[in-house]
Amino acid sequence: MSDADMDAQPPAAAPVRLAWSGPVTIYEAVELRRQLLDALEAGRGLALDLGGVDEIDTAGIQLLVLAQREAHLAGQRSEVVAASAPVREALDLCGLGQLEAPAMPEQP
Amino acid sequence: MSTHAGGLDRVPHTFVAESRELLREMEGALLTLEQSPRDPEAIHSLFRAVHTLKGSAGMFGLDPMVAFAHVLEGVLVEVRRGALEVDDALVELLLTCSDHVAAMVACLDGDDYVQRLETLDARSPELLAQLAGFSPRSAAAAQDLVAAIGDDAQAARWHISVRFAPDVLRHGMDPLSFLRYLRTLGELIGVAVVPDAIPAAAAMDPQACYLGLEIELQTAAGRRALEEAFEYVREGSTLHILGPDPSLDEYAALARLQPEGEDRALESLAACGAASTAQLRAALRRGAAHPAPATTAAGELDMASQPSGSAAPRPGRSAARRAADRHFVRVDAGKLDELIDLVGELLISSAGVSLGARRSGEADLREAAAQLARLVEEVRDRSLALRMVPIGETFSRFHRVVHDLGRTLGKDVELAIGGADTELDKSMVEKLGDPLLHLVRNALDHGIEPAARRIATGKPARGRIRLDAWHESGHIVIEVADDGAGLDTGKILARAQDAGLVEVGQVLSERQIQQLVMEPGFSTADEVTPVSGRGVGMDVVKRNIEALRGTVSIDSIPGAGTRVALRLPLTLAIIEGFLVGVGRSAYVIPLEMVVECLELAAAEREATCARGYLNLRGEVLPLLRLRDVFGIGGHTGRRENIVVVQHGQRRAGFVVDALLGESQTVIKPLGKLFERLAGISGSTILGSGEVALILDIQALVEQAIGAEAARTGVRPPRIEDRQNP
Repeated sequence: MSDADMDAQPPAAAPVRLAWSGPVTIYEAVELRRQLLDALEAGRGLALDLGGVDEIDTAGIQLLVLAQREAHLAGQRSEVVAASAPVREALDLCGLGQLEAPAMPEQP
Repeated sequence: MSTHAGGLDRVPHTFVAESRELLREMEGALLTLEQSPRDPEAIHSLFRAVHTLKGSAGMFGLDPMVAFAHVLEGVLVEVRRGALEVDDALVELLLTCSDHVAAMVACLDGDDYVQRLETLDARSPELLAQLAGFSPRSAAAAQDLVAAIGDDAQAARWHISVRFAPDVLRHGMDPLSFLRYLRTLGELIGVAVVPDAIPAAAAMDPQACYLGLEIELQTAAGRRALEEAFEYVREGSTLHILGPDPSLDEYAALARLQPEGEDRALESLAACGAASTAQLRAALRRGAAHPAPATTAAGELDMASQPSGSAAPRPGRSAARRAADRHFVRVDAGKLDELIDLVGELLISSAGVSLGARRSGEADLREAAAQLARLVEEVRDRSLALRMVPIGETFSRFHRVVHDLGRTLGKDVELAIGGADTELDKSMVEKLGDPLLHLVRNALDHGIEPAARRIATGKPARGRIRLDAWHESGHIVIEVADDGAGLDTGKILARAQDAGLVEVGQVLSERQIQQLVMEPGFSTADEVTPVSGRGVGMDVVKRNIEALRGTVSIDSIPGAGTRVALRLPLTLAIIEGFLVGVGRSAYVIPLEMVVECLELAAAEREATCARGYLNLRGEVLPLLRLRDVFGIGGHTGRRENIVVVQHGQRRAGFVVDALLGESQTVIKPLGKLFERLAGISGSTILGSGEVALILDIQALVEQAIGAEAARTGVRPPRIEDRQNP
């Protein structure tokens, strides 16, 4: 099970940082979506640290895509600030490498 | 296919036959493209033919063919994608290329084909260079040719578009693993995730799959392998596979089908590397005038079909054709001939059994023999039908002839084909090629006028030649018609008088004069052209057709055109015969030529035979006594009969001893020794085991008319007056 780690935020508009580790799959998806929704509530954007993720599946990828879209719709930013090898492989495989990029490209 | 690679084994005949078929397909498609350069069906079939050729040539290690076809294919990919326009020059070049491949295929028959292929291959670079002039991409293809043959000679581009069913994840399937699998099949050029179906975060079920994928893949695996990869997600998912080497129009048609809308679909397509957004948008606009009918119901999986747009190939039809292909068995023509021969023997034996049964007087046996005879007749009909082939294939070869000749002569001529489904015996088809070629050439060269003259006489500038075929009472009629100048009867008559074919002062009808062009040594072309030479033409056609027991007739209207009709029996192997007896011998007259039978009254016999003709209801009927013709001695019976026969429009009466009735006649060719025997065209074996000779009615009728004329001292007109249009 991934751990949610919502740090107390420093001032200014620093994005909410979510650090996930372990598997990010269909089994974790319900819980992870809740975390994402909560984090977006804050309205400061998202920084996803996926450095500790050792497994990701389509349900996980779908959450990342969802997070990006929801953030964009709310005028926020969502970034993957760190990615483990499995995450990077999965993102590259389905052409979502840009999610990891430090600067988010505009969602079309 | 048993032999493989190395190029040392002989190439199987099936490959050669298949290649010829593909080349014909290719040629047909090219000629279609010449008329309508955007015909998607033609482009598709052209591409398919070359692609298949390349593939199967690769299986037999025919590297020069593979290499050449590869570059050719490269150009066609451009055409298919809509990046390269088809024009006359390109069609011309592609036709030359198709000839080049045909020459390569032709040399596969010999044992030394490896050397011959290499010799031929020396011509390839020149053609390849010309191809490269049309398409920069094929130039590149020509350069990395060696690499291409080495590894992915068959690789093609495919596009897979999939919208997963919501429950795939719950069923334990992970779309990512599909991508990983596809990566093992070839090179993933690009993948785009389509997230549009994900609902708002609050409403979203995180365990459901809302994603779609657009995948661009370069692989040698075929459509089947790609379909199989998605086998397990069939239910509820929507899968579209485009390829090999999908065109822009196909992408556009796909975009139109996507649930997320055209614009978003275009972006995904562009993102996965299908083509640039601008190209896709242009294709989409181009097709917008004719919106694509949705072929797939939402959420339904449609494996076999590609989305069909106005410009995309019609998959339904090609799928149906593929299915039809599978129902054919390729059989060696020689085996069929053997079967027909055997059926002939069977007919003869069956006749023998019937005869024996009749003689035995046993009712049971007679009944059984009658039953057998019925079955044997059915077997005969069915096996003859096996050898029947539609004439369309022969006809369509003339597209090329008309195209090439038209160019040589500087005439713009279209060829129309009718009755392509009309069937006739394969052995006949083979023998019809030359006569038809002659007729089509004549029509082009002598019939169709130059464009300027056509316009001056109020005709469309483009000439028209029509090939037609239909069945008519046990015969096939093949017609070659043109809308040219028609025959100049004045010129023909003058020419015929010069050649001594007609005496000056002899009065002939228009139609009689027209038939004169079939007399030996006749030619009216003012100038000799390279196309139809001098003098030998129609008479050769006539002789060839008559050798097939057929007839030729010409019908022409000055200024409006000429029609030449060939009338032929459906088969050469078996005829319905009419058996007559003279002395102890039996003779067969083809039944269709028998008009009626008369009894020659004993009282009139002497006088009639001396006169050499009979007054048949007011008409003069020349008579021929077969007893005299064949030098049969002995006494005539008490009664003699006259069989009135007709060949073409001429009639004559044969005096025979006895009328023996109808009989199934299996034609056996005469041996070399008897080939030139006058009045006999073949032989057959009767049920009793005796040999009967088949009469050459044409020769005998002419002999009868000639003899009658000699007796009366009047030179007969060469063409009968009774000949009506």
